[in-house]
Amino acid sequence: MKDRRIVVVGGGPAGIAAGLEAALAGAQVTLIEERQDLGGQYYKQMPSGWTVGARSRLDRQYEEGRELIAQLRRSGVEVLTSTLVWSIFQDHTLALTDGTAVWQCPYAKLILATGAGELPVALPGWTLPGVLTGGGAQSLATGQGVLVGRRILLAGVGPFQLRVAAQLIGAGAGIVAILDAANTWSTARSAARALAHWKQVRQALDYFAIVRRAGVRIFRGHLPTRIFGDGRVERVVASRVDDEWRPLPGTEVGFDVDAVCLTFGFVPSVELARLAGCRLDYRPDAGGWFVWHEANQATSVPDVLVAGEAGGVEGAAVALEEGRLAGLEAARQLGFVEGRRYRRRRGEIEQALTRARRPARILRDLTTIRPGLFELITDDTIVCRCEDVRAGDVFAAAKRWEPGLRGVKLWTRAGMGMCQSRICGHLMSGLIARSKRIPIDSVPLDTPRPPVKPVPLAAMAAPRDGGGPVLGAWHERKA
Amino acid sequence: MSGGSVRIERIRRGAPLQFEVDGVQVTAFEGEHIAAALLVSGRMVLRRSQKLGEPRGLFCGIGLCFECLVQVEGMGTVLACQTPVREGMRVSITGARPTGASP
Amino acid sequence: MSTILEAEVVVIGAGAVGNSIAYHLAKRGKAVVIVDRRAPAAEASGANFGLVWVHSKEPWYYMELSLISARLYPPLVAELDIDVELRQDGGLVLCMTDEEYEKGEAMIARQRQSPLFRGRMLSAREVHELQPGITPEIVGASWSPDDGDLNPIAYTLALARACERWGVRILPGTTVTDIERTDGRVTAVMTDRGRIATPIVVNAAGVQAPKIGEMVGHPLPVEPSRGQELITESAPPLLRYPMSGIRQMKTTGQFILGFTDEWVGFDKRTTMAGMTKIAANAVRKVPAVRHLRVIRSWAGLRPMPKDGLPLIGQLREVPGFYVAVGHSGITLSPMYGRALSELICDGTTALPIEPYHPCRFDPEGRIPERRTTEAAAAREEKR
Repeated sequence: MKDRRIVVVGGGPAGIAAGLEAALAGAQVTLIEERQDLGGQYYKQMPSGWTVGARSRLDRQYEEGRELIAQLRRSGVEVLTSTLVWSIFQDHTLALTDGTAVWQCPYAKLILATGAGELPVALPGWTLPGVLTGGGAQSLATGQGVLVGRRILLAGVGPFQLRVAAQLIGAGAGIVAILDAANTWSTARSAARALAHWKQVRQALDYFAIVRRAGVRIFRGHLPTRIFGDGRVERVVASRVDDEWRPLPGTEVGFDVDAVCLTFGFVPSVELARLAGCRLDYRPDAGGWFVWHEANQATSVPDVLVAGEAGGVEGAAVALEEGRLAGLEAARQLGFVEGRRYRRRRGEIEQALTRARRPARILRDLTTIRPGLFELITDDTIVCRCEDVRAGDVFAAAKRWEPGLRGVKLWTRAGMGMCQSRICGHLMSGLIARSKRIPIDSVPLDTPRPPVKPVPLAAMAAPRDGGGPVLGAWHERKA
Repeated sequence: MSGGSVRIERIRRGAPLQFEVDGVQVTAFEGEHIAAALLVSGRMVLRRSQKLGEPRGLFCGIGLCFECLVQVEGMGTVLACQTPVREGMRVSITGARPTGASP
Repeated sequence: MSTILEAEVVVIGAGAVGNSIAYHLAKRGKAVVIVDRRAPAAEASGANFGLVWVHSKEPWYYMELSLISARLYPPLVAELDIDVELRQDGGLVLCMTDEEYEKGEAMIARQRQSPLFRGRMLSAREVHELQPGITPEIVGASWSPDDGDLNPIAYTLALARACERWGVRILPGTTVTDIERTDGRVTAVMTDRGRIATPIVVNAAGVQAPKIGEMVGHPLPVEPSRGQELITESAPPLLRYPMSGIRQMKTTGQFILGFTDEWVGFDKRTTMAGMTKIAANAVRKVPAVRHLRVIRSWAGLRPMPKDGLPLIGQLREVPGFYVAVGHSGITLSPMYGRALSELICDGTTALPIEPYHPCRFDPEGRIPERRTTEAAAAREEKR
């Protein structure tokens, strides 16, 4: 097929930047976003027609996102929202759905900007209503204007949860306390190195100041060890932890709360990349399994590029530049940009990327998960929420004939539910590694199975021929 | 027991609307998703888990974990955190049924 | 190569068929080793539709063999320590057109050659009385009280566990590299982990069976037929009986939808065409499923012999080498277990397995020509 279209999957920072850059170079670009609104989790936008009364420095991110989306709107990029890319069945063809039908979409170059999900952390009581991921609580506040509780406990690691705290406080929430698993010393050490990056430091200090002004106490070197409640979260017991995040006996402290937010980092969303056949790589400080890529964002599969968190978690600033680079590269490979113009632009982006990466590195030091976190899981802790599978069952299954996720899945049904093992997958890998005393990246992953997210049968039963996107149009499908 | 979720005050929302939760009228605003509207109405428990019948609520908030499944008349089971609430919508959060155990 | 184990029987393949054979042999006192390049239920046994199916299997004597196997299920399942969700209350094949109904009628008439057959045609009204949720568009259905379904993964794993209880050694992740023979007789199975001394080998390797057969100069006429399937989210109980292509799981309420029959070699991927075809079939026949979401698709490879019928028996020119291969491994696994254990321990079996000798394709094969069936001819045509 002589189609020269670049298709970008994902409308967060990386996807928007990729689309803009490629369009700027003159390429025909289609950007597909699963949700109703562009912006992703980072530039989370309010529903259309809503406005925020008072502006604060915290809204800057929201404004920045709105500006980028407006640029995209003017750029000629064709945008499909409320459209899910649910598989890649063959080379150069995506399978799409809007919930009412399915159709195929060809591409000449594919840029995967599928982002990341939050790292779920299991501990006794984590399935109680009122326990959310920090991102979930943040989304609720910034996207819906709703506070999850009146007495919120935040637990996690690193500055991201400070940001969640600052946003929640700014919105009027009562924060009972913040538990940061990293101890004071390692935080101080990294903070000293971070001084070289004034902008990021100032941002972090902003958050910190808000937290301090609100009188919220930060418990450094603490983890929640058990969450209690009758039908919903009511109380949390935490402990001081050592450098490996293992609880120190006799240091328990209790909190009465009505919500708990767990903020421990992000996991790259690699499902689509796996269906495309892209090679993965594993690095704890990149969020675990991520899409391996070259310096120019090319993956191991020809004509497939990756940008942003899916290619390793490094934060929104890096994702933006990676998106630009991927967009530029895809456009160059199709002959839209070349020679000096290309080299100059690539140089600019690479410089920006290097700048963006420095603080990202330090952030990684600050936020790297230690093994004690996953040892909070007891035998009777549920690890697969969809199928109600407890850790003890996973341990038992891991001793059976087939090591790895598939064997455990067959025995326990863990990972067979609606979330398609997005939440429990890495928890199970961790448990299998622990029981077999092997590194987590040597636990075999299960075969990826389409659809990457559930698709209604009625839609799947209605394949549409030539129902692909119309170039030049802006299709905002309402769910 | 009533939940602690509240709407943030300084936001100008969409038009108010009414929808029904297990036969009870609940007020929400255009643009809100079902999960947010249920939370601020004091409903933390959105479903019962399939095998153990445990109470579950909003967890990831971004459409990944499928904990917030609720039944909507005419739509079947939907993700409450991703589905906008509509005037007159009939939502059920008691429709979820626990089933027996399997290996 | 050093000998790592000695066995009285080595079974190659840890699917439902291999495990059933090993289990029956172990209960007869044999020292059995199962080798599998992957693990129990890793291939077709873990990726099939889960029917224990009888009434539409043709020709009539193959239906009879399936029925005999289906009747061996309850006592076998009673010996397992996992609930395998077995139901044997009946099953249907829906007829959507007059033509399909007439074909069904003709099939039922042919099956009546067997005195054991209990199937019949149902009118549309009878179908709706029997099975809720079916589209009013149907013309009728064929039905038999002898059909049923189960959870094939739970069943295969339960069998494997029962094997271990009876002392069977299961070696997962072990690839067979050769079959050692001395004076024509089998003396060992060579693997990538070492030599396993044994006088008897059972080739229950499914789609890999031809490769194993080749090691003794006897490539078996078996090819992979890809079957794609879908599974939905849970739903309240609707279907009372399994149907060919649509069934609802007993414990989770999920619908399993199938299936395709494709000749694409060893490619186990699902396809857009396959998935949409399966979805359209389900929505058309059981309209209530349209709101349900598909959460996963997968494909399994059926080991399909050239004439569609199983291969059961000892190779005449390779003493000690037995074959137990064919599609419908779940339905037939109790029968394979009984038949192979009797052949190996007693030298003969009362089960009617003569039509299925693996040498029937040889030029001097002793299987009469008339055994080549209409079903097999149709299959040939499709290829």
